[in-house]
Amino acid sequence: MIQTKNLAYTYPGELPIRFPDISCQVNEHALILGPSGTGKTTLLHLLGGLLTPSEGSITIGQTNVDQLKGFALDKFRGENIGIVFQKPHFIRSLTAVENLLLTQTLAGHKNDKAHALSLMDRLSIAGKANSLTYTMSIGEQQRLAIARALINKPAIILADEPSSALDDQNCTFMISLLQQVATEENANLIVVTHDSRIKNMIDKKINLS
Amino acid sequence: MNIFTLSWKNITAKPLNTMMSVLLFALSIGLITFLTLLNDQLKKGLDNNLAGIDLVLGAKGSPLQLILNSMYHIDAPTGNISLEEARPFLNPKHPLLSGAVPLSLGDSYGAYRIVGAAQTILTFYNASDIEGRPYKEDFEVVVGSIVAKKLHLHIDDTFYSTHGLEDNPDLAHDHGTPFRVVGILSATGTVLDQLLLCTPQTVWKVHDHPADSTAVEEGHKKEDHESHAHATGNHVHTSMPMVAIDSVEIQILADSVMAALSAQPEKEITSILLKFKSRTNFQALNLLRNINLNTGLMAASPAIEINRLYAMMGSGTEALRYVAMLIAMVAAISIFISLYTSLKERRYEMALMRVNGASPGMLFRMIIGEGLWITMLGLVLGMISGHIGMQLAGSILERGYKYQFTGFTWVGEEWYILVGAVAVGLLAAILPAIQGARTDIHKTLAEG
Repeated sequence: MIQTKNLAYTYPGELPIRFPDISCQVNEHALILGPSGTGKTTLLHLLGGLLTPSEGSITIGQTNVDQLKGFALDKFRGENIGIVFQKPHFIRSLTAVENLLLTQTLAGHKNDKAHALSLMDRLSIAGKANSLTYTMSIGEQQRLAIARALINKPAIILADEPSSALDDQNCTFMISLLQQVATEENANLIVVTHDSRIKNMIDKKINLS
Repeated sequence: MNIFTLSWKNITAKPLNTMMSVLLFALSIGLITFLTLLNDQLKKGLDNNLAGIDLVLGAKGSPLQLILNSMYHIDAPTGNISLEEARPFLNPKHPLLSGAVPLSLGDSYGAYRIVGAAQTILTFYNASDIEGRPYKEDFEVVVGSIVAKKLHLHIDDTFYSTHGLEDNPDLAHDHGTPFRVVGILSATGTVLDQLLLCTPQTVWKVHDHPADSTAVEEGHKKEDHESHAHATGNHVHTSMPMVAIDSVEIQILADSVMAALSAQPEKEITSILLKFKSRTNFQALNLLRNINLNTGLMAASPAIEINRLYAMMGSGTEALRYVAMLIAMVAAISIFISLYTSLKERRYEMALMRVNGASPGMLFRMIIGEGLWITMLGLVLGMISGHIGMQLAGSILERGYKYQFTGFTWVGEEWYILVGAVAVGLLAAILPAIQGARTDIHKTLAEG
């Protein structure tokens, strides 16, 4: 469950960017649409606790995220938020499964390799568990990125332009996969995009302008 | 996945970069360790061999040379002195002296020096045990523990000496009376371990002996003797039990040697080792100056000369130590650069780690960990190679310095090396670590 009210962010020396209120119930997914330059990434970073809003409030579950600072914010982020970025990036020196284990560590969880492997299995990349990430194909890397977003059973999964680099077929597959796993994990999925192909796949839409 | 495990994986993922820093660091640590071990053992060796000797008398020349030659047995003699001149100092009733050991040098066997000396040399160097007995008659020898081991000498073995102090087969005295081993000393940790001892008269006799080719058949060389023994198989080297050296017996033997020397004032010896009755006696302290001013002899103080030598060698190792420190600095800079460049390449990774819940402190620890891993690898590699290097160099140095070196020892200063190395590693890593901890998540991710 996520709720925002009167959210605004001000970059130094610029006018504040104001965002429409967002409200997603449990298991509700949302699409944030808007052309470039309307603050999509800024909103995603605000929701993900990577930026602190200059005005307004964000509530995830029972927590006022805008009130959290420093270590508490880091911890909250690690435990409750999973982010899938436009381009998948990983720790180069670690294998696929080690990347997932590190994500557990960073959230303060115990390493659960069985869970990591079963998650990879669900995403059909179990065979790549011990591969270095940069040796995997883009498709596999994107699935691993989803696995990483899911590994700590977050309340919210944020996806930043997850389909922009994909062809039509893979685009559809990617979004339905995200929806499916988010539903399975009882997480809200919020997709930020300007990709019109996705419009009809998620009902709830928030338009930025 | 521990954060230091991640540090380890990060540095091993770039083995070439890492190896460069590790090797540089190992080189400096190895050099510093080697120099520390060398300095320590040189100093200990020099100090051990002081053996409470207060003054050395010899022919005029370089006092350092006299000390090196008569006490460390590593330089040529300054010349000979006549017993006529030396006689007062051999007098057991000398008011200032508690002991005197006349030395006669000139021959060697297998590059180990044969020293003609009064038997009291054994008590001077604290030789405690002996297999066999002390030498009594001319041509009887007592050998030091290392000589016995290296030259495979046993009781009753015989050999011919070589003229001069180096191993030159062309100068072998393969005629006349052969030397016979009567005793083997236990290890003393002093130069005694590398000497063959006999009466001073023996050294004269080796050289007085007229060239007599018929004598060749009389004795056989030790090599022949051994091959003979092995061929027949009934000559077995029986090792005798070690017995304590009896200082009273030594004194009696030495007294008779001294008496014999005094009876031949026309003969010459190389030098005399002297011990004072009291080191605080004013007259004793003036003895050195008095001898040098008023006699044809030269007196040298081992303590003064060795300090001088140590200062000279010290400046050499000091210079090398600075070179090693310079290398350590280059190594630190190399660690810094490699961490810093990898930091730039990994900005996105660090932002990702922050997204996944890592605190700035965790990133700081990760990078410090990388610096420490490199430092530790270099430290371990360097210390091991420093010790092995000392062990290898030891066998070469042993011949030159006449005492044993070992790489398998740990000296107190090495703790400072350890602490210093870790400090250098931390210092090299701290700036990149601060930089890494400050990674701006939003900016880094937005820039892609």
